[in-house]
Amino acid sequence: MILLQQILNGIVIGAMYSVIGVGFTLIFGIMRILNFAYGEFYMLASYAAFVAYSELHLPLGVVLILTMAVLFAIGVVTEESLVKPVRERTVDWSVPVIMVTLGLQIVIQNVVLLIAGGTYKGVASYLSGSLDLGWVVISYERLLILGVSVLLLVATWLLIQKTKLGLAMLAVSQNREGAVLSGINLQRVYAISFGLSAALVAVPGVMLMPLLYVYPTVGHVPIMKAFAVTLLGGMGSVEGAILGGFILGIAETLSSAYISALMKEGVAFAFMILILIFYPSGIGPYFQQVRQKVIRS
Amino acid sequence: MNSFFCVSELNASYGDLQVLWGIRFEVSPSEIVAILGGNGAGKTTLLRSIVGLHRQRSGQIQFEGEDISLLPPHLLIYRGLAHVPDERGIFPDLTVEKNLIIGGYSIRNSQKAASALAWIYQIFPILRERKKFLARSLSGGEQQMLALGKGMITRPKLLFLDEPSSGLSPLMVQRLMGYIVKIHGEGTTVVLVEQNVRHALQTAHRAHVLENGRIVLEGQSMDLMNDPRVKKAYLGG
Repeated sequence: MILLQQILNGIVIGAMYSVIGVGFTLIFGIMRILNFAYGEFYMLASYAAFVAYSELHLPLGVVLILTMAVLFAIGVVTEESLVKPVRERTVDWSVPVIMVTLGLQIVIQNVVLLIAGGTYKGVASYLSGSLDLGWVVISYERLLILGVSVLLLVATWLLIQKTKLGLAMLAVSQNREGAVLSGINLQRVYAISFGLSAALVAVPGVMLMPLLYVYPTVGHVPIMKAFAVTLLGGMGSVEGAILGGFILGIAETLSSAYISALMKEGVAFAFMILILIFYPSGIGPYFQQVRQKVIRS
Repeated sequence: MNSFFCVSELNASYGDLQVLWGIRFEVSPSEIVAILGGNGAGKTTLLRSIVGLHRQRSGQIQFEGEDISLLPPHLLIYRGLAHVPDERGIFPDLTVEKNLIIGGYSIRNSQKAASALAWIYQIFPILRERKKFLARSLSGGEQQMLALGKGMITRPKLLFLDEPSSGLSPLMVQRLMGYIVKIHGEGTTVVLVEQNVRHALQTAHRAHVLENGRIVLEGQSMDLMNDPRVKKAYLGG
């Protein structure tokens, strides 16, 4: 039963990794850039949650929605004020924009250090108690994390597949000029995607705060996961990121239970390298091929 | 000067290298006009400059009496101006149907969008058969059908086609030209940029010949086909 319990724990943390990965891969898929300030969006959300929950005593649901809204705005403003000027001055803007996000990462960290100080802050937990199913036990907090993640992943998938905005995002991710010629405003898609990406990572920022605490450099944890999940799933593939998140979560939990808690990340990342050796462009594209075969047969 | 579509004194450059020199031409409603020329003549740059994908340019581009040269390129389709680029402008990892739906992105009314899709399937039955396939899995000819369908779905007043025959077999080129005539019959004015001079002259009413970034010859297709210079340079004597 320990195995089952560990897998369940892996699924819960994996759901959060999926959300982290989807937000990161979204920007890569649409803009072909890596957002190095992604972890800082997470960190800002954690601080926002800390202030809203532990000092303003707002209910968790309100904290979550408020933080998402604030981070959406921060994402849009980042794109409009820092990324757009670079994009408008050169045709090959991928690398300069990546450098801008790298600089932004350090600047945000330093500014937060100046304002909030370097101490760890946190809350004990949002919910207490747990659900005992006999063969596995799951805390209400973990159940909440799982529920919120699944809801968010489904919402994101529906947004991409079923709305006009999602259609524009898909188009831009595959052929910028083809999208422009169809009447899609690139600037609007870029700004909204940056906002969505930041709003997505805001949720782990809020939900994982009791587990990881919050301090100016906490962003390195989610961005490492984002890289792993995104590479595992195939850069730019949302389905791949969802799958990659669960794989990484389960791999981490199992290796910490059966090998050593100290080796948790080492084993998980070794596993990632191993998968990449066999599927160099990630598992997302592979699954797409399978799906096409099913459709055609 | 209040013609349907008219370009005047159009220059375009890449950095210090000027590639288009004082281009001027006009298109009347319900014409098929060809722009002919060999590799590197500036054909693709001309179309990209007209629709604003290439920004380093000067001159006037007027459509229905309005200067459109400062318009952001994504707004052109709302004015009734569509462009099928030389790399076809399709979305390789999306299905044929999704490609066409994106082509109709500018149609605000969803009922109209659905009937436009049905209309495209009626013109290009092969696209209906292939609607669940990824665009990248189509043959070159089918991809060009998709590009035409995507360009036509909004029923544009003016359609620019950048070398639609490239990479197609002679039989496929024949069929393609048939489709262009069919599109024209649906009420769309077509500007066709081609290297395949023989087929283009058979399809178009009028043509302009572009050489080293300048229009060197223009006239009715019939006359050009019998012009000794055209015969010698493009039609193999």
